[in-house]
Amino acid sequence: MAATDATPLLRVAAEAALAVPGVAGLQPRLAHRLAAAASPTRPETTAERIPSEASVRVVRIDRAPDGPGWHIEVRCVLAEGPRALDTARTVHHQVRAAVISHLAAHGAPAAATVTVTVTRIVAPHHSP
Amino acid sequence: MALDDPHARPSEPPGTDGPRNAPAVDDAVPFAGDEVLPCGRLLSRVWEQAQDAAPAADPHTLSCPHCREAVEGLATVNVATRAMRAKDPPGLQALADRVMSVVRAEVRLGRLLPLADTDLDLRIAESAAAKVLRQAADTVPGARAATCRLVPAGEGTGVRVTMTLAAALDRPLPERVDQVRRSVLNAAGQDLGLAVTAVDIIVVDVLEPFPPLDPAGSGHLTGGGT
Repeated sequence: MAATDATPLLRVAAEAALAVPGVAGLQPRLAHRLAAAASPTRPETTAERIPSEASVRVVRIDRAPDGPGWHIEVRCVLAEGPRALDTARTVHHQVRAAVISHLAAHGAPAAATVTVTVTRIVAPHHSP
Repeated sequence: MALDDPHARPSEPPGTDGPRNAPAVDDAVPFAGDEVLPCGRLLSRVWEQAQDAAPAADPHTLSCPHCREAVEGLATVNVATRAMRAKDPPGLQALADRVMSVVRAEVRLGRLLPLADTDLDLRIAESAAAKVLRQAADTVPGARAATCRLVPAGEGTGVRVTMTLAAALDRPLPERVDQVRRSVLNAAGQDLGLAVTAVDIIVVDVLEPFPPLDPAGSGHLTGGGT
């Protein structure tokens, strides 16, 4: 597998998840929220400071049964309405397809596994 | 855009269990909600080592990409914390409050439960699922959900629900409890996609069937249901 930086995959995965109908937003991971909370210059809300990529974790897997690849974890906030399972499935498929496509386009084809975690379900017109 | 957590809502008690199937690493006792890295190490353990030990002391940490990523994530927090400590001592209390607010919000998520798909790795936070199930219970006239806990049941995607309830006494309790159970099961399947194997319901309080004459009264719980 050609060497690939994990950073672009964060953006690719976040954008793919946010594009899924029923996804109201992404939930930043703890380390990023702590860093934002500790920042000397704070915006009005933490959400204004933390980019969507902070909700995604990408880990390179060097030793896996199917060969080297990537594992992506996405934390989603869903809107009420669609069944959470269905939206989570769509997020899983879309993120995995986007990551695999990105890797192939950059000459580093590899397997990708995805974990989707629903952290909250909010009213449909909830604004961050 | 990443979504911030809502303001603190103490109605949802924090999860008490650690991660499921977390392997024992050394003799460390995992914190509640501690994360197990893909290499099998506990996140808390890796962070402790990064803070305390000389880097050369553990060859695994040097070579493992998962541990390295975890340590790098901690470094971001360390830099910001050191900056605050150095330049703004009076703001330390505010910093501590903000950090604790973030930590409490994370703990309030509760344990992570499997959604009903045996092929994909899809999970939902206990707090998110419990909120939906409590709302389902509240749709039953004469019933008001108090607490709702969910735990994984067995090896598959099954989940067991335990709910405490305030109920009016104008009808037989078993009938009303069955109605609540059906509503909870329906919401779990239709709204969430959770494979609920059982719904244990405990009536812990009496709900007045009619509002009191006093207009200032809330007309709901008469006791100390939480």
